Formats: sequence, C-alpha cells, structure tokens
Amino acid sequence: MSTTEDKTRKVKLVTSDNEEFEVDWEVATRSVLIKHMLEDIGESEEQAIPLPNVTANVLKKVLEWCEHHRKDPEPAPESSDDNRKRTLEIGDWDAKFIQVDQEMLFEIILAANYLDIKALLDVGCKTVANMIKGKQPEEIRKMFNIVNDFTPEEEAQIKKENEWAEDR
Amino acid sequence: MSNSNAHHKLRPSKITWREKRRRTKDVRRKRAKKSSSGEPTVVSRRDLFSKLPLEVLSEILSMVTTEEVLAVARCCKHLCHTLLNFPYTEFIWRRARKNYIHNPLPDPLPNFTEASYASFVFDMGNCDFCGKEVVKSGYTCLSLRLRFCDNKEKCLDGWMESYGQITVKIDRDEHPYVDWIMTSRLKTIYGLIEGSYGSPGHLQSFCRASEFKKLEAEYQDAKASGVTLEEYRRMHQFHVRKINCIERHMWKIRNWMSDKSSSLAFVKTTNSEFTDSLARKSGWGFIQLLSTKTYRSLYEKKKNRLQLITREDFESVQSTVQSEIEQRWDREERQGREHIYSKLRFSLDGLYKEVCSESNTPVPSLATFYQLPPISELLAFYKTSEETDDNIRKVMAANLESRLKQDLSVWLDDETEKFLRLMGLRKEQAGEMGLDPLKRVTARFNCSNCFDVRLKTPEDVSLDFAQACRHECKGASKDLSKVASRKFVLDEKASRVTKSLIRLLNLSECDTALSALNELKICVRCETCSGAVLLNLKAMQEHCHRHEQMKISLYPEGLDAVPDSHWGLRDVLVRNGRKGSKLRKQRIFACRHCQPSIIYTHGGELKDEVHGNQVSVENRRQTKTKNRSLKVFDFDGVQSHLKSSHGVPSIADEDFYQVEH
Repeated sequence: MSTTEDKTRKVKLVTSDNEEFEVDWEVATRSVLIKHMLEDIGESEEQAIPLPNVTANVLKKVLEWCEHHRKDPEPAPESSDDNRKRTLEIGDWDAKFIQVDQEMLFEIILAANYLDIKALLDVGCKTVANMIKGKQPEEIRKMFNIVNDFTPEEEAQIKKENEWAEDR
Repeated sequence: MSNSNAHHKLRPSKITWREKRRRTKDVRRKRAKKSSSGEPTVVSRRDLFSKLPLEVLSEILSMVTTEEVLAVARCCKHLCHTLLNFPYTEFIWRRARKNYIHNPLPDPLPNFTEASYASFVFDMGNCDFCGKEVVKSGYTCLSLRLRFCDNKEKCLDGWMESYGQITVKIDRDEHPYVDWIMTSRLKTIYGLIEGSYGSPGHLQSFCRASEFKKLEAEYQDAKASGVTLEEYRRMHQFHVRKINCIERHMWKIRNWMSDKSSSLAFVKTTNSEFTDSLARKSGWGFIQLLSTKTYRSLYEKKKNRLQLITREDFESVQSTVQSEIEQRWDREERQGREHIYSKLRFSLDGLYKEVCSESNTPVPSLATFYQLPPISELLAFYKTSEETDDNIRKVMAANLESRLKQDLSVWLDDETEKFLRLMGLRKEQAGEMGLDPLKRVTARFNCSNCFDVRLKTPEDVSLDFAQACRHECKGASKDLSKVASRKFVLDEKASRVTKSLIRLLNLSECDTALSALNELKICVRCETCSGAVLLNLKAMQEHCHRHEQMKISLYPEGLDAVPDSHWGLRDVLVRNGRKGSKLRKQRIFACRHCQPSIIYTHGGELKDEVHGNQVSVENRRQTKTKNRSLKVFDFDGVQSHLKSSHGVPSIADEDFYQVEH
C-alpha cells in the first residue's frame, strides 16, 4: 500500500540512451518492475533506476499513459482460466493514445511487457489483435511487412491439412 | 506550324519531367494520406511482428479466434514453426477456440493436434472433382474430407459417378463392413440436391468407392478363410465405435459451423437494416453511409464480433460520419462540375478546329480563341455555376456562332493593325497598296519570347502573318488565364534573304505573294554554308537564322533535280512512330555539308564540280568508298556530326539526305 509520503516522492528513471526522467512515484509504480525495484532500493531517493531495454522516446510515451492512468485501481491478479473470452474493446483515450506508427506500437508493447504494465500491454495487444481480426495470411504479411519465406512447394504442402495431422 | 504541332503530338508517349514530377507528387500524396489516417496500420519497414517474444505473441493471439491464429501461422516459417511445432503453444489454439462469440469451437478428437484440428476445420482448398479453388473455408463434407465448388450439383454428381458409393440400400449381412466405413450424408451437403439419389427428405449415405472395395476384398478373404459373419463383426467392434465417435464429432462441428454462419447472417441482415434506417432518417443513401470510413469500420468491427450496431454506437461517430458524407457530397459535386466543364472544353476545342478548317482568313491560337469574349464568358459561367443542366449550354450557345464571327473579325482587325505597325505601315496605307503587305512573301515575323528556344529545336522560327496569329509560345502554360504574351518582331533575316531571292528572280516585292512563290518550286543554294546545301523557300527562310548574312544563288535545275531531297524526312525521324524509329537506327544518312564538290544535274546525276566527272546514281555507292564526303551515319550519328563538325544546332531537311531507300 502506498503512503502519502510515497505519493509526493519523485523517481528517477534512466533510459538506454542515457536520458533521465524524473516522475512521480505514483506514476512510476504503474510499472510492476519499477515498483519492485523501488522496494528493493528502499528510501534512497537519489538513485536512478536504469531501464536498459527502453529508449527515451518510448519511455516518454509510456509515462504519458502512466500519467493518465495514475489513479486507476491496481489490476486484479491474473486469472488462469483458459475459458474466459477476451474483449477487444479499448477505451476512447487509450484508442487515441495508441494511434501511433507501427514501429512505435510494437516498441510500446515491448516496453509494457518489460516494465510489466499489464493494462498498457493489454491496450497494445488489443490494437494488434484488432489489426489481425478477419485477415488472411497475405493481408497480415502485407500489414506487418512479414517476408513470405515459404517456397511454393512448401506453401502448397502446408495447405494440405494432413501435413499437420496424423488424425483418423 | 504543322511541324511543331506534329512534334507536340509525340510528346505524350515519352515521360516528361512534368509527368515524373506529377507521379512523384501522387505517390507522396498517397503516402501522406495513409499516414494521416491515424491508424497504426502504416506499413513499417521492419518486420516487428514475427520478432515479438512468445509471451507477447500469445497475449495478442489470446484475443483472436482460431481462424486468425491459423492465418498468422501461415505467414512465415518462423511463425509456423512457433505455433505448430511446439507443444507448449497448444494453449494459444485452445484459447482461440473459446474466443468465438456465438459458441466455442468444439474440442478436437484425441487424434488431432490443436493446429491440425484448426487446419481441418478452416482450411481452404480445391474442389475434389473439378480442381477449382474453393474460397469458402472448411470442408463441404467433413467426414469424407470432400470439398465442392460453387458448381455444387454438377461436381457432386461427377464425383459420385467416379469415386462414390451409395451405402443406403446395401444389405448389412452381405456387406457387414458398411457399419464401420466412413460415410457422409447427402442431405447434409446441399439442400439443393436432396433427392437426387432417392426420395426427397431421405438421408443418402455414401462413402468412397475405393474404401468400400478395399473392405469388401478384406471381407471376402476373411470369409474364404472360414471367418463367420458374427466373428467378423466382433473383430471390428472397435472400428464401429470409432466411426460412431467420429461421426458424432463431425455433427458437432457441422452444427457449430451452421450456428456460426446463421449468427453471422443474422448480424449482417440486422446491421444492414439498421444502417438503411439510419441512412434514410438522416437523408443519406445506404451505400453513402456504408462507404464512409468511420461507419464502415464500425460496421466491420461489429460484424467480426457478431454484435449488433446500436443507436449509441452510431451516436458516438455521428458527427464524424456527417462530415465525411458532406465531404463526399462536395467532392461529387465538384467532380460533376469539372466533368461538365471538361465536356464543354472538348466541344469548344471541336468548334476551334471547325473555325480553323472553314476560315480563309487567319485564325487566333487556341489560347487566344478561349479569351474571346463569348468563349471566356461561357467558360467562366460554367466554372462557377452551380447549375449543371445542359439546357443552359444550349441557351448560351444559341447566339454563340454569330457573336464569335463578330469577335473574330474584331480580333483580326486588331492583329492586322499590330503586325502592319511592325512593318512600319498604317492600316489606311495598306489599303492603298495593291497586294496586302501582310500577304507579301517578305512579311516574316518571329516571336522574341521563344525565338532562342525554338532555334535549338526543330520548331519553325520564321512565321508568316497567318502562322504568327496562331502562334503559341513554346512551353506556354496550359492555364488559359496565364497565356504567355507573345512578342512579335519583324524577322529581318528572313525578309532580307527573301528580298535577295526576289531580286534574283527579277520580281517585285510589292506584287509577290507567298503563295505565288511557293508554286514556283524554286530551289536556292546557300553560298554561306560550305557544302552543297540546297533549299526550298520555307527552308531558306528558316536556314537564314544560322548566318549573320546569308548569301544565296539560284539553283536553276529546280527542286526536282535533287533526287535525294526529302522534305519532311526530319519530322518523320524525330517522331517516335514505328517508321521513324526503325529508320533512325539505319546507317543510311549522309551529310550535305560534307559534299562541297557535288552538285546535281537534271536526271538525278551527280557532277563533280572540280573534275567535271559524271557519276551515275547507281554507281554512287561505289563512289562513296572513294569519296570521303559520302560517309554514312544513322540519324543520331548524322545529328552529332552536324553539331560537332558544322556547328548546326538543330538538324533540318537541307542538312542531310538518305543514301538508300
């Protein structure tokens, strides 16, 4: 549980390109990774937290999201239920926030995964899932610039369902 | 003038720098349009998707259905390998099966892997009879793994005849293996062909004939070795259970598929009806509303999620949709006006051509024609008018011809006065002279605006009055409001050389009209040029611009005495037509400037001026090897030669000739 003192505390974050960000404790701790690191280093305010997997422009975007969602309740512990249906709805603000170019979108997803920000990862993944929805392989390849490295023979082969199934 | 027009006509076949710039702009505009849409769908240079860590990939795929996981797996070898070959990715497929809105996809039978099950249910393939590609996913007949194309009845009939075996009325004691053979039922395939193999409404079981024959042979063997019917049935109890289990499962999948398609059909119909009612209430068309980007995306999203569009959904995007529709209306209206305007331009171009062909007097250039009051008023009206009714054009065009006639005559008076002034005369003075001074052969003009540019090209620079009236500056803007102002001056050089020709012919300048001199078919030789450069009247008036003081002598034999003269050959060669481009590459052209010693006599014979030898045309090729001046080139070669050796900036007919035909 966060105390009043925690809420006024500032946290320093250093990106892979050596840029330093000073943010509110409440904003920084939207990331479970940073939260745990802060718990580990204790009261030492001056110590900056290195984030070697995140660049400054991505962190800026991630912190923008954290700032907007600073008052959000803590996410519920993950359910292991495989039967849950996942909705692809994204809130209006999040939908606008995630309207970035594809490269930034994937960078945000990777950063959210690394920083362990479940809700942001969810927004990113939903956006990508929405992009995939109802698409054929060729459309997906074109959209994400995936090179089709199957030979025509391999492609014909994988279209035969029996290649994948020994069934019967 | 005709030469320049011909030259202009061949331009569109080449890609000009303007065209290149326009295409580049188009590409940039398209890219900008894509990027400004704001969606994160802009194609990235790097493939970041297939490099995502498995935990992120699985998170993404946990939100989509089996069909989409299957599509992702088919994208590249890496994704295929990740999603198919590792048992720990089975959970992705399992979860994807639950993500169907209407009902989860039934569990697979134990003999299927999750991926092979997905492939079995959703893959597309070819028709099992005609081989045509079937776009619809999944099998037509699951248990027998058969796919039929849209030509359902024909292909199924054909398949049944060639490879099928009806199993309904078969005696089970005669053929006990029918109980454990994989069958399918006709009614389950198509309602359409129900009854083709029995009475309507009756389920017609069938199997693969090959399998039937195999089991039959097996049974006959067993019977021959003393196995009784009871024993044989007992031996195959497991197979009966297995077949029953598979058939039950196939029913489940079939029901799931039909539920899915009926849910989709319901959602599509309901959403279409709702869209139609929305469009009607707002005064839009159904297609208009559906083709807006925002509403289309909402419609597709709802369809994919099997959800109905609600009024709240629409209200959240209403203002955007409204502005998109208004933009579309504006665009359509603008396009309509532009279409009418361009139609009008087309008919006015036709009118101009008519005026040109019918008129005996000089006519203005197209750009000037468009600036004449009745035409410019008509165009201005159509450019700004909201009215698109063709009747207005008819009303306006009613007195167009008479007004045009009047204005053309006013325009001609103005032009005559302007050009007479250039010649140092007044209109009243001109009236007193016998031959109209502007019709004299010495009345030559050039446009100082584009003189230098034209001099380097095959365009004519020396113009008579009629040509000057129709002249449009080279490179002038097509925008009618920016018609380049022409600046005419008297063509002193052409006038001077023509005067000396008249003197040589003992004619009077005041009485000699251009047309009269043209009829004489006179031929002159340029004495200033080093070679045997022979010219007709038109060529002489162009050629004189190459020299400060051009000297000429009359060539008494006339034009007909020059056998290789080919007036207009240059134009044929510079045109990129089939004939021209074929000729250009042939080494058949020689330079006239390199033949100082040769003149022509009647009968097409060459005479060596120095030695007085007669050289027959037939023997000219032999002479060529002896005479350095008869070096032959292809057309590009002769142009380069003329430029480098004789300083000729732009090739003309008098500079070269064709050695062979």
